Amino acid sequence: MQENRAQVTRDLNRGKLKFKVGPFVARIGTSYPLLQRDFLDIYGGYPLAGPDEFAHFNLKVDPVSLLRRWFKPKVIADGGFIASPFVPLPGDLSILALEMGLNWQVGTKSDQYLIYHSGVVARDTGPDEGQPSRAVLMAGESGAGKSTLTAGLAYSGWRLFSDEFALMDTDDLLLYPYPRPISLKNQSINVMVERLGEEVFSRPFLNTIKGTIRYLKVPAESLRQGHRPAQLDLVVFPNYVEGSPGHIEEFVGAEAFAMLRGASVNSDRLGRPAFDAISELVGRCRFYGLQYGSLDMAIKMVEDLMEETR
Amino acid sequence: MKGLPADLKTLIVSPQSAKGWSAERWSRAVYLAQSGGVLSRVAIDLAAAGGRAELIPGLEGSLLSAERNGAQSQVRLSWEMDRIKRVFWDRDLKIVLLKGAAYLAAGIPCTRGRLSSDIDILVAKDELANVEQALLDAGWMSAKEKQGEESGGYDDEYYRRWMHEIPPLVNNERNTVIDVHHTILPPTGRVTADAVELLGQAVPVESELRERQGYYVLCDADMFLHSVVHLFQDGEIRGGLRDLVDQTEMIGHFGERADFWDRLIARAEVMGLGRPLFYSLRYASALLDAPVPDSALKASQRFGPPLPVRLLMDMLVPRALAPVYLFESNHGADIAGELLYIRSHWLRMPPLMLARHLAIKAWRRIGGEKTA
Repeated sequence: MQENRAQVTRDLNRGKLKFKVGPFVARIGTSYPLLQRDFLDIYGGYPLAGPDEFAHFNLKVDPVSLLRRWFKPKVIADGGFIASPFVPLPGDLSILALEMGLNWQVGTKSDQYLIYHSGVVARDTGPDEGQPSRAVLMAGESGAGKSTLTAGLAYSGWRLFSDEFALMDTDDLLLYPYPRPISLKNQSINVMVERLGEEVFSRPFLNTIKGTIRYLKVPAESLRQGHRPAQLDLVVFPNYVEGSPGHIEEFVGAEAFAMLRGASVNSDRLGRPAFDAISELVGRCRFYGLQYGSLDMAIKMVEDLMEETR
Repeated sequence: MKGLPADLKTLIVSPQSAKGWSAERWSRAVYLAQSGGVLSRVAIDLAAAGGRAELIPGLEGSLLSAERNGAQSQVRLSWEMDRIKRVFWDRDLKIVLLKGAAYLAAGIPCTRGRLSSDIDILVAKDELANVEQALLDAGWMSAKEKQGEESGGYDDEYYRRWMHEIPPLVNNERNTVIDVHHTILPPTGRVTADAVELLGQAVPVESELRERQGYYVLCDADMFLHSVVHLFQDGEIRGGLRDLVDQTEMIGHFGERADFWDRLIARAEVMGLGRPLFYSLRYASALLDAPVPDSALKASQRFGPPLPVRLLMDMLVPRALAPVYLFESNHGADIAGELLYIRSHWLRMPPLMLARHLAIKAWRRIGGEKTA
């Protein structure tokens, strides 16, 4: 959408912008100029969807009232659902309203997939679409370093699938890309800016509930291959501990099952298909807890483990 | 009278004819069905009509998701019925399932793909305290406490004194909500229902499934009237499309039974629920082609409101029931919704009490408190 900024802005104004995120098409509308600019900055590289594509999600983000458009601006996301948890945000943070609005819809209305709250990156085994890509899934509590590790891998030759939701087809157990900007918080921002340079980041968003946020844009190659699924081979639970010399612990059987099940956001809603999928994965994938002291150490651990799992 | 959006009506009433639609058209129709709370049912019906997966690319995912939601909702309800039964296994207590749980247990066709978040039961008023205590002892707690607020206070007192149910209880482990009713209408309203009659006429659930055995459901006429009351007497109509779909299904299902219509009309008369019944039959047949026999429509005419009110309702109800696409303007629906919201309160309590209630709510809102 980068090539045609004026048209994209017009479409945003009229609520007619349709773009693709992995297997989904989202239709977006906003009349708020600041959000239009931030959106184009962060989503500029995404493919647009044509008029003959079904829109899975619909979202509007607009000022809560005419007054709040100009005076102490406040915006709110609206997806048309009666029970939605959206709250008004300051105008400056309107992109967060859009991010949360989309994530909430995907997380609650996409039960055709088994969804894990996790980062996923994959490596292609060849340029041919027939050759399967191999994926590693990074789960664990927020703050454990999931996003940083996902970001690190995504910019070291891996394809970014997700920093938020891993989408798994319950029939063939393939993972589908859901490439969204990676939201980095506070200290991890500096680490990654130093590593990757300013130009792949959004402007900083200050005073969010999680502190300062900057969005790391999705590498162009990951967007280009946004339709290509991957087979899950490796599941890791990263844990950053300052000064750690590195420690790897393997999980098997029921423990691995419980950990992967714990990372899923909708296994309760899916029931049987989720249980069967996770059971099969426990027999097929390797599960490791990673304690690491630096990003480079963690990237090496993941690459070595992936090599071994081959 | 303005109808429902044509494509939404097609999906609800004759999904097999939803063929050859463009992606744009499907996007809007699916949004409307989702927003009207009927997408799971539509997904199931489209599958039954055949060829769902081939309709247009990308659509199947959203339909499968909705279908799974509906199925899971029923699993949850069944499990909840099983757990609640376990609490009262050694008591001689008549528990009547209401709404979604009742449709499921009694096998009413509207149960397919119907999403229920709560389970509703009805017990005799003098059992209320025992039932509440037994649930509290067995792992349920006040929904307010669960959210970290103190229970009690104005809302709690309001419920206990003026409502037809006790404040909702939530299960500590499963986070499921149970509403325990002692009748089906607030005792403060213009119209009240005779709870002893309701319990007396309730029928045992006939089922092979163990979790359903031992429960009761309201008799057909009462089950229908309860849904009607919920939509047109006690509720605010806005967002109630799913309830009208339920009623349409019940009309088809019960309507076949001998003298159902005579019993229904007579029952509504005795219980003073003629007016809401009039609205239900009128709008279910006008908006969703419900198969109401002419004789029943005619018989319900005498419950109708004066002409000006009827014309006003004909204007407001379809607008408030129809979902609006996010990217289309919805001022008409907004105004209709607001007016009917005021009406719902007007019907629920006497004027002075209403004034006091709204004043307390407003005062608390000014103070920045969240109100129900």
